[in-house]
Amino acid sequence: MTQHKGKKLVYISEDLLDEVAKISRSRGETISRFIEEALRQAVRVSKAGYHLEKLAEFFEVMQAQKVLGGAFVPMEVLNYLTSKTYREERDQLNVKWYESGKWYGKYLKERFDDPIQAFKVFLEASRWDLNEVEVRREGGKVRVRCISTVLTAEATELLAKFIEGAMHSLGYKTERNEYVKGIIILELSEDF
Amino acid sequence: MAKVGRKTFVAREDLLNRISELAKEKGYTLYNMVNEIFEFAIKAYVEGATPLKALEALEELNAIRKAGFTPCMERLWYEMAEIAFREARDETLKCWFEAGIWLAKLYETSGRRNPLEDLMSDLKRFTWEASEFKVESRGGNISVHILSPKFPESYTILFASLLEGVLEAFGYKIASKEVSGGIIRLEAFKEGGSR
Repeated sequence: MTQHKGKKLVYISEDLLDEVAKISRSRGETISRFIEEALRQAVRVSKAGYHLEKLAEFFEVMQAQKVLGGAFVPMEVLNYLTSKTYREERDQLNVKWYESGKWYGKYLKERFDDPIQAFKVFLEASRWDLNEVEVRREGGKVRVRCISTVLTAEATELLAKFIEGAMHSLGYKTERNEYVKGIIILELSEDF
Repeated sequence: MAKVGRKTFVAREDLLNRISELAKEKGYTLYNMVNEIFEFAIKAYVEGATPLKALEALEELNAIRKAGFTPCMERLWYEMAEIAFREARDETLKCWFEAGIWLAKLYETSGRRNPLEDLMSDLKRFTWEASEFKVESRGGNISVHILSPKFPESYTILFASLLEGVLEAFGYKIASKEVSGGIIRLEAFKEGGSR
C-alpha cells in the first residue's frame, strides 16, 4: 500500500532557491526532486552525527587536496622519510616544503573566498598529528599556532616552512616564525 | 543593511518534520536549518558530488586514519622518497618492506575475516594516484598489478617493497616481479600451498 505523504510550505532564502533552481536545471531534474533529495540526504548526514557546515567545509578542502595531488601514506614510512631526508638534505627539504606551501597557498587563493579559513580547515583535516590549530585574525595581522604532542623537531620545522610558504602566497609577510618540537607560532602581516 | 529576500517551497511533510526536529536539537530556527541544508547541498553539487558523497568521503578519511595512514602532498612525498632512496637505498627499501609487514600485522590482528583482502582493498582506495590497481587471488596464488604514470621510478620500487612486505607477512612467497617506473606486477604463492 502506498502511504500518502502530506506536503508543507517552508521558507528559504531567495538567493539559495535561485541557486537550487540553477543546479537542478543543469542536472535535468525538477526543483522539487532536488529539494526532496537534499532534505533526505541532510537528515541522513545529521543522523550520522555530523555538522553540515563543518562537513561542507571539510569536503571542499579535501576535494582541493585531491586536485592538488594528495596521497595517503603509511605514517611510519613518512616519519622515516622525514628524519632520513632531513639528516641528508635539510636545506633542500626546507625549500621543498616552503615551495610546496606556496603552491598550495596560490591554489587556495584562487579557489576559496576565504582562503585563510580554508587553510585552517586543511590543516585540521589533513594533519592528524596536530592536536590544536589556531588561526587568529586581527586587522591586517594573522597568527597561526599549531600544537602537537607527537610531531618530531624535524617534522615541526618542515611544517612551519610549509605554513609560511602558504601564508606568503596568501599575501602575508612573516613578522615572527618560532618553532620548537611540536609547537609552531607564526605571526604575519599583510604584505602590500 | 540590505534585507535578505525569502521565498517558499513545498516539500514532503515527514521530511520537514524531521528537519524541524533537527533544528530544535541544534537550537536553530527551521528557516536557518533549511538554509544550511541547501548551502551544504549546493557546495556538494558544485563539487560534482552529493551530501551523502561528502559524508562517505569523511568516513573514508576516518578509515584511512584508523589504518595507520596519513595524508601528504604527493609531490613532497615523491621527492622525499627520492632523496631517501638515493642516499640510503637499502635502508629505505627495508623501511618500506617493514611498513608492509606492520600493516599486515595491523589488519591480521584486527579481527577481520579477510585481512589481506581488506588491506589490499584499502590500499587501492587510498592510492588515488594509481590509474589501475588490480589484485587477483586464485587458490594459493595472488597477483598484484598497479599502473600509475605518476609514480617516479624510485617510488615505484619502494611501493613494491611495501607490497612485498604485506604479502610475505601473510605467508606468500614472491614468484615473479616486474617493477619499473609506474608499473608494479607481483605474482606470489602461498608457502606450503600448491603453485
